[in-house]
Amino acid sequence: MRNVKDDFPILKNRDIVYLDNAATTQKPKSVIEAIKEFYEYHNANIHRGIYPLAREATEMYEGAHERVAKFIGGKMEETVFVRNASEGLNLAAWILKDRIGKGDKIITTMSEHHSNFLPWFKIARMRGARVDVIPTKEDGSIDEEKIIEAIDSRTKIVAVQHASNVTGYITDVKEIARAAHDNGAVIVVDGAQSVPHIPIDVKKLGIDALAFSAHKMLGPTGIGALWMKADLLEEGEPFLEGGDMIKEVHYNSELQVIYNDLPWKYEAGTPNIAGGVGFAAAVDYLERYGMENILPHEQKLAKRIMNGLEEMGVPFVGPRDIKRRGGVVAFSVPGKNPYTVALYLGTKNVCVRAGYHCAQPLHESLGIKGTVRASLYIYNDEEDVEKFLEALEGMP
Amino acid sequence: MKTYDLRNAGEGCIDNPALALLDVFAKRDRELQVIVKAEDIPLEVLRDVARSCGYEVKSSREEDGLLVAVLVRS
Ligand SMILES: Cc1ncc(COP(=O)(O)O)c(C=O)c1O
Repeated sequence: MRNVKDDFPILKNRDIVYLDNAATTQKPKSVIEAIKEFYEYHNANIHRGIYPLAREATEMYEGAHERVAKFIGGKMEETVFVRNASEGLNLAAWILKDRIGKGDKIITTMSEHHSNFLPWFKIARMRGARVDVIPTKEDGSIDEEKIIEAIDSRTKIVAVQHASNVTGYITDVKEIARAAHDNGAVIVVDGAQSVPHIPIDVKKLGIDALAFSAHKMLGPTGIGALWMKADLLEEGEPFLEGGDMIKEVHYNSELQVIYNDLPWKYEAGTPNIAGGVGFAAAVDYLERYGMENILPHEQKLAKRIMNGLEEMGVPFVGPRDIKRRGGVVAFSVPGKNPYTVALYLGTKNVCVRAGYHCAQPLHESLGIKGTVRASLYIYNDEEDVEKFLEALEGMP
Repeated sequence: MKTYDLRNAGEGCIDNPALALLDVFAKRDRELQVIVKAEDIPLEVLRDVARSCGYEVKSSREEDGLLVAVLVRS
C-alpha cells in the first residue's frame, strides 16, 4: 500500500511525530513543486499585463479560484481569496455590518476560535447591536438546540464554527442555517477546521458564508478563502481599497468609483498569486486522496488516542461519541501544566500544542486552564499515535 | 552568569513558562541560572528540555516550590 507520508518531504527529512495539524498542516511535494514552478516559469503580475506571461499568471490565479470554489460546491465569483480564515471572518463581518441596526442581535457560541468571536463584538459595538454568546454543553460541544432557540426576528447574523479546534465537535450547521433563514438572518460559518477534513457543499449546507485557510489543508500559508453568496458580496463594501478592485475611478470635485466584478472587488492590490496556485495544488491533492476518506481515517486514530488517554486516567474535552467529532483531541494531564506536557513531548520529537488554542472563553467556561492538543491529518498513522501515547506515558 | 527568573511568565498561548524557557536557551549563554516554579517545570522535564536544546543541568536546588538550576552549554 502507498505510504501517504512519502508525499511529504518534511516527514522524511525530520524525525518527528507531527500532531499539530489543527495549527497548520505539512505540505506535499506537489504543492511545493507547484509554487516553485510558478516562480520558475509563470511569474508575472495578474490582470494588468498584456504580454503572454502575464496572461498565463492571470489564468493560473483565476483558475485557482475556480478550483477552490468547486471544492466547496461554490462559484468562482463568490470565492474571495484572503490571507487566512481570520481575515475571511473579519471581512465577512465588515461586509455584513450594514445589515445590523441598533438593538439587533448577532449570535455566536462559547466554543468559537477568537477569529470568529472578536470580529462580531467589534461590528456589534460599531452598530449599537449586541452579541449573544450561546453556552456549550458540559463537554464543550456546541448546543445546536440552544442556538436555534436563541434565533429570533432581531437576529441578523449567526456566526458559528463547523468544527472545533479544541473539542473536535462537528456542528450540525444545516439545522442552524434553516433556523437563521426562517428568521431573516444570515449564517457565517468558520470552516477552518472542517473544510480540510470533511467533504463540503455550501449549497447542501444552506449557509451564506464560509471562511477557511489553505495552510490547514496542505496549502501554503498566507492564503485562504471567504466564500459568500453573491448578493451579499454585491451589497457589501470592500474593506481594502486600491488597485485591481476597481474598474474606474473618476475625480471631478467628486469621487466616482466603479468597483470591479466579483470576486476581485474584494481583492485590493497585488494578491498572493503563488499562494493561490499552491492552494489549488493542495485542493487537487486532497481530491486525489478522496475527501470522503479523511474523517474516517482521523476518527479511527482519534478513537485510539481517546482510549489511550482513558487508560492513563487523562481526561479529554469534547464528545465521547467518535461519530460527532473529528481528529482533534485536547486533554489535561492531572497535576501537570499543559505547557510542560507539550514542552516534554517536544523533547521526544512529538509535536503537539498547549494552551487555549485561541479559544480562551471556551476553556474558561469549562473551568480548565488550557489543554494539550493532539490533532491528526491524512499522513498520521497508528505508529504516530503509539509513539505519542508512549511518550506521554513516560513523562516524569 | 545571568539569572532568568521565569516565575512570572504568563499563562497564555504566547506567554508561558515553557516558551520563556525555550527563549532563554535560544540566547545561547555559556552558563545561566533559571528560576522556575517547580510545578511549571519539574527538574526531570528541565533536564530533558535542556538536553534537547544543547544544555546540561550543572546544579539544582528546590525550595518553597521553586526550582533554581544552573545550566551550562554542552
Ligand atoms: C476553528 C478555527 N477558526 C479559525 C482559525 C483561524 O485560522 P487562521 O489562523 O489560519 O486564520 C483557526 C486556526 O487555528 C481555527 O482553528
